[in-house]
Amino acid sequence: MAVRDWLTEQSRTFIGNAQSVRDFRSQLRGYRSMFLWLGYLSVLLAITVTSYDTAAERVRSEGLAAAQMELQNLYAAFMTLLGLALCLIMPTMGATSIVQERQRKSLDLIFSAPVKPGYFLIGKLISNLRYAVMLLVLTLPMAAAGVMVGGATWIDVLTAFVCLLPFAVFSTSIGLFISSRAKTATAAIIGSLICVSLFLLLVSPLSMAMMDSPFVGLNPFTVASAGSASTNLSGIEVPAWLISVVCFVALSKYLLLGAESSLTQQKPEIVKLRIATYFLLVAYSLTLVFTGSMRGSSAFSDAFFLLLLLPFWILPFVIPIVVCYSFSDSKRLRPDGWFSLRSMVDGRVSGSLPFLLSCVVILFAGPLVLFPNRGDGYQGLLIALTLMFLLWSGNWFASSFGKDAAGARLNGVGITAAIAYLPIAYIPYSFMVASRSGTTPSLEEFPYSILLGGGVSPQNTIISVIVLLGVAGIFLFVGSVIQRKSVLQRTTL
Amino acid sequence: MLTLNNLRKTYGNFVAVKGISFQLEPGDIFGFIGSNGAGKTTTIKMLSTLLEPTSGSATLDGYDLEKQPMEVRKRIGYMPDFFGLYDDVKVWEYLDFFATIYGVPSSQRKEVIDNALSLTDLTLKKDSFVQSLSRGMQQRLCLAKCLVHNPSLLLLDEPASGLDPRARSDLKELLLELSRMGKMIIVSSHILPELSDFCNKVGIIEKGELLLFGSVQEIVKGIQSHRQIRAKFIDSADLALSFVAVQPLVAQVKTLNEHELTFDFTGNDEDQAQLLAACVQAGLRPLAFSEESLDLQDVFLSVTTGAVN
Repeated sequence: MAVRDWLTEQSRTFIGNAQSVRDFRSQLRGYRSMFLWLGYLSVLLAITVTSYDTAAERVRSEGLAAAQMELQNLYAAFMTLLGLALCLIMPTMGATSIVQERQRKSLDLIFSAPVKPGYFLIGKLISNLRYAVMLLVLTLPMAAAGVMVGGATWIDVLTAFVCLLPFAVFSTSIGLFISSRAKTATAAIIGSLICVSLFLLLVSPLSMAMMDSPFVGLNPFTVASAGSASTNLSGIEVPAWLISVVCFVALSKYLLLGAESSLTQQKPEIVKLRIATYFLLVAYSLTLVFTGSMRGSSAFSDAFFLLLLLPFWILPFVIPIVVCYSFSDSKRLRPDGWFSLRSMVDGRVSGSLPFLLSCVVILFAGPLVLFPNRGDGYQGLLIALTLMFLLWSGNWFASSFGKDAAGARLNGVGITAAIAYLPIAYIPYSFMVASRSGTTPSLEEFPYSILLGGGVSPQNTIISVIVLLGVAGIFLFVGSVIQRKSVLQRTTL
Repeated sequence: MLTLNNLRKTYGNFVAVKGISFQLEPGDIFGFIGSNGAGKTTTIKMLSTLLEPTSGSATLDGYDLEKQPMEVRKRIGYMPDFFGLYDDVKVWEYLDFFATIYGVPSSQRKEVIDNALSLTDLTLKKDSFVQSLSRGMQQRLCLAKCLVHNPSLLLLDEPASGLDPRARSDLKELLLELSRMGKMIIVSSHILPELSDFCNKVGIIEKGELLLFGSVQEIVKGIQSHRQIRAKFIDSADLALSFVAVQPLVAQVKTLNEHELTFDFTGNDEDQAQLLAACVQAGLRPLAFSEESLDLQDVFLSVTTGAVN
């Protein structure tokens, strides 16, 4: 019965979604889509004419083989253009979707109806994806020309499209996620484009590290060579397109869950988001192990380094949302204790510490299972748990000052960023040391990294844990004094 | 049946709604009266499940607002103080969209839309674009949207604001018709005369606190400790004043003009009839002799201080 209900709900969400039908009617009536497609076709036509002209010139000067080379490059140019179009158009469209509804004040009408936010978001996603499909279809004749002149095979075209479509889903999901939090369309568009750029910055070293990188399908500018790329996982040859499809679908689902959670702030959505976070952390941990293991033999070290720093960039935006509370907000945001395993995933204040600590454990579980003989892994886990406790206590402290949960979160962002972004000081430090001694110091030599267990040793670990716990203790002591005063004032009033 | 039990909403230190409690039965039209910022919209938003109450509870037909929001949403039709209409769709497409998201089966959708259009007198505008409708028609379309799923409770936030007198009259007729169909209706407004015409229950809210709740008559009775009589005589009002002022149960006699006077009377209907007979016997020749009842506006002005949140 439950399965049948689930299937009914899924078919209602994905087939004949009222939101997507409504949006599609509007899209067909407006001129925006027509101008978009005409513009895109004009660019394609311009590239074709230019390339044909260059090829004809090379036939005359260098012969047929050189001209064929020129036309083969045309296929790669089309795919790059398609990737660029998707990078710009899809997040922009996603970003305006929810903000427009909010500005039109129609969100209240939709959310007072018996539909889950996921239904609304999937509807928006489907309606925006129609543009992506149209762009892909419009590129088909050009791609066919590439196949005819020998620049690519149909398999290349198919795999590129198979990678680009999930990328379109992913970039639209970024737009929808940002749009669910942004107040204006401009802010949403800028935020979405920045996020897509950061993603490209992250995957570029991964996808360009070598010609047949397994992550080549993650970068819309390198999908042209995704057809031949694959990787061997425990004896099974996994094609690059499959990796990209799985990654994009998983990331999109996660972003949509984030958007659902921020639109409703309700318990079921928060539970789903937190459980998905665990899965995402497992995937991130395994990716880290995978890229880490390839560091010595290839140019993956940059990618590994970027991936390693990723949580530090994200923490200031995530931890305040998880931890910060207020005495005068809705029930879910009011303090209900320090530590409750039962509230770990439901968004209650008492569940924030166990949730954060469990995230750290999950993150370390992959490397510890795969490399059980590396003793420093356990020291790293201990330091990471203590650091997370410090960040939690910092945000607990931040909640003492906020007028409400939103104010507390703003304070929390500042405190978390101050702690998490301290490693950035490595950059000026390395310049300073390099100018003095002529050699760039390793990250392990940076003083702050000792605090984080850099060049992990039992001695450093003990120092780190003591220092981090000491600072956390100060946060908790001062915070509780302020909060006790505030509660007393409230009681007196 | 709708039951609110100490429903409260705070934003930080700001208390928007201070523990409201009341109950509505099917067919009730409840006028929710208060100044701007009194807490009407916040209460309605809590009832429409868009806002989570800080404390307290509410149930609609036995379903808890917080615990079973999906069941509650199936049973409410919410019309906000803004219409939130999509301009670039046709009238029937707009209703089709909401009928779909409210889960009306596709086989019944056309009939349901036609009924809603007919009830709101928009049948002729079925194929018009929403942006081409007048404000009154857009407001009726929004109401039609609330009806497509046959809800038991209608939440109408300032439905009459910006409407011309004819559109207001049409709205009143429509609400009475819906009440006869057994729907509970909550209408928030700060335009009082229109509410007293069709609401069988009213509540006055100020600074988030429900000051009064009940039928218009009950509320007026509760406020008015004595009757106020207005009398008109063919002869001089001064002559009548000297006679009336010395009668038992009469106080605060004032002349209004050359022939009219008003006074407070603490007696019942029988005493009032005897007083009229005494005036006739004294040769005063009364033209009119009636009790002046307070209207909703008088009640509102007497119980509220004008303070806002």
